[in-house]
Amino acid sequence: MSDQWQDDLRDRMELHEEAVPEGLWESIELLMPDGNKHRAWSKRMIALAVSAAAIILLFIVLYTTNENQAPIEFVEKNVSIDPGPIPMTADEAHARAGSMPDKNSAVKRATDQASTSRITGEEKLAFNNVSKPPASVSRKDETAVTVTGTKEAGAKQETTKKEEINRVVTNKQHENDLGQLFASSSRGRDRENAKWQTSLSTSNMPSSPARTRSGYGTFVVQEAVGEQYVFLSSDIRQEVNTTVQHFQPVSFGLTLSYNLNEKWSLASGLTYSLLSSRLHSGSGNYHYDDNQRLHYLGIPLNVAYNFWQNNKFAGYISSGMLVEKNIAGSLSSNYYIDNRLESTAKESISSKQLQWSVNSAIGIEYRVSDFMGIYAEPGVAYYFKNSSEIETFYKENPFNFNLRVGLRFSIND
Amino acid sequence: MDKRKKDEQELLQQLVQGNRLAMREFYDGNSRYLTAVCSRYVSNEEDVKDILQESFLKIFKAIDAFEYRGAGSLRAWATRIVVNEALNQIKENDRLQLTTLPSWDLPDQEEDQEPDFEDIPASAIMEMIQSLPTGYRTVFNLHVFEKKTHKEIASMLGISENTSASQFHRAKAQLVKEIELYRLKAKHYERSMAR
Repeated sequence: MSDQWQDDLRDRMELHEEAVPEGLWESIELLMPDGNKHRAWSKRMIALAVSAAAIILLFIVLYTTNENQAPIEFVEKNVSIDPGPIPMTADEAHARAGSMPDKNSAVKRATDQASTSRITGEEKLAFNNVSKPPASVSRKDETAVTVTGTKEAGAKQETTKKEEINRVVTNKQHENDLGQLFASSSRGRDRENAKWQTSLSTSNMPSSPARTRSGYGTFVVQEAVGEQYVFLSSDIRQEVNTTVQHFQPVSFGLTLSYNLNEKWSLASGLTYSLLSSRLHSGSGNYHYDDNQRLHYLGIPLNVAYNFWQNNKFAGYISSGMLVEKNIAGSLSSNYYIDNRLESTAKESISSKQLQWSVNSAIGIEYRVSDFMGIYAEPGVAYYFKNSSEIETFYKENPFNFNLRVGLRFSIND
Repeated sequence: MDKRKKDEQELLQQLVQGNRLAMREFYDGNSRYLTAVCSRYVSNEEDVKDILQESFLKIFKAIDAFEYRGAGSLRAWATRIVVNEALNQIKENDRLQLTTLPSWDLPDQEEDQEPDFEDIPASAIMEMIQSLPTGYRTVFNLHVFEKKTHKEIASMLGISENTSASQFHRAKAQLVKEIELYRLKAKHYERSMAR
C-alpha cells in the first residue's frame, strides 16, 4: 500500500504533545456537577453503613463460632481507628475479606466499597498536593527556523527598481533646488576671487558580474560558514546553485572645497551611497532570493591640483580618502516553491565597521557661469577590507573604477 | 504492557466511582496529548480550550459507558470524544469552507507525490497541518489520524465522497509544498546563523 507515509505520520504524531491551554483544569473542575461531591458523599455513607452492617454480621458470626474475645477487638479496632489516613487498596481489602472465615460476597463488596470511600475521604487532603500540570512548554522550540514574513515586503521588492529611478529623479530635482539656493546667495563675482566652493556629485560604478557558486548561500562571507556545507550537501535532489550579484553603488555627495591658491584646493563634505545586491539560491523551481540594501554616509577628504584652465574649462587631478559608515540596511528574502512566491521575510542588517577607501581621479570642469560648473571625474578607488561579515560590492570589488559627475558651486567670500 | 493495563484498569475503576483524584490523574496523563489532537483540528486557542473542557466533562460523565478493550483503549476513546467535539464545533461555526473547485483542477503531477515528513520536527508538522484550510485539514485529520475512509468522512461531514477525496488530495499537495518551503527556510536559516 502506498499509504505508508500516513502510518509513519500517525506514529510520529502519536508521541506529540502540546501545551495545555492555561486554566483548563480549573474550568473543568468549576463545571463539574456539584452533585458529584454529594454523590460521592452519600456513596460513602452507604458504604460505611453497609460495611458496619457487614462487620456486625461478622462479629456475630465470629462471636458465635469462636467464643473468643480477641478477634472481636481486632475487628472493632478496624472499624473505629481505620478512618485515619492509612490508604487501603482494593486488593488489600479483598485479601482481608478473603482471610475472613466467611466469604460472604456482601461482605466483600462492602469492604471493597469501604476502601474506596476511604480513598475518597483523603481526596481533599491529597488534592492540594497534586502537582500542577507541567508548565506550558513553548511549542516553538523546534520551529525556530520557520521564518514567517509579510506579503507586503514581497510587493515592495517589485517596486525596488522604480524606487531607484525615482530617487535619481528626485535627487536631480534636489540638485536644482540647491542650485537655486546657492545661486541666490552668490553675488556673481569673478570666479578667480572665489575661495570656497561647494559641489554636488553623483557617481555610478559599473556593476560587478554575477558570481555563481554551488550550494545554498546567503550574504555572508564564505569562510565564516564553511561548516555549514555538511548540512547543505544533504540536498542531493538537484544541483543547487547560488548566484550573487552586487549592483553598482549609487552615490550622491555634497562637497565643500577651499581654494588654497590658484592651483591647489582641499575638499570635504558628505556622501551618501546605496549598495544593493541580489542573491539567488536554490535549484530549479525551488529557490530563495535575497535582496540586500545597505545605506552608507561618508566623509571625504580630497586634495585637488588644477593643472590647466582657460576661461570655460578646467582640468585637475584629485586624490584623497573617504570614510563611510553603514547607517541602515535591509535584507528581504523571498521563498519560491514551484516558481511561485510562497513567503517573504524582511530583516534589518547593519555593519558596525567603518569602510575606508582611497581614491584618485582626473577631472574636467565646464563653467556654466561664474558661480556654477559641471564636472566629470573618472577615477579609481580602493576599498580597504574591513572585518564585516556582510558581503558587499566593496568587498567583492575592492579596486574599482568609477565616474563621478556633478555640479560645483562657488561660494565667494 | 501488563502493568500499564493494570494501572489503566485501576484508574478506570476509580473514574467510574467519580473519584476526583483519579480524574485529575487521568487529566494529567492525557491532557497534553489531547491538546495536540484538538489543535490539529482547531487552531484558535480559545476554541481549543472550550473543546477540551467540554470533552473532559463528557469523558468523566460518560465513563460508565466505556468498555475497556486493552491497553490504550481509554486514551483512544477519549481521543474520539475530543475529535467529535472538535467536529461539532467546526460544523456549528459552519467553518468547513470546502473549496469546491472542480476535481480536474487538481495538478496532475502532484497526485503521486507524497509528503515526506521524515526530517520535519513534530511541532512544525503540527503548524503545517494547522495552516491548511479548514476543509482540507478536517478531512486530512480524519483520514490519516482517525483512519476514516472517504465514505465515512463523507457521512460524518455531510459531504460527498468525491469532495472528501479531493480535499484530501489538495491537503496532501499543499503539505508537499509546505515541506519544501520548510526545508528551504531551514537552509536559509542555517546559513544566516553564521552571521
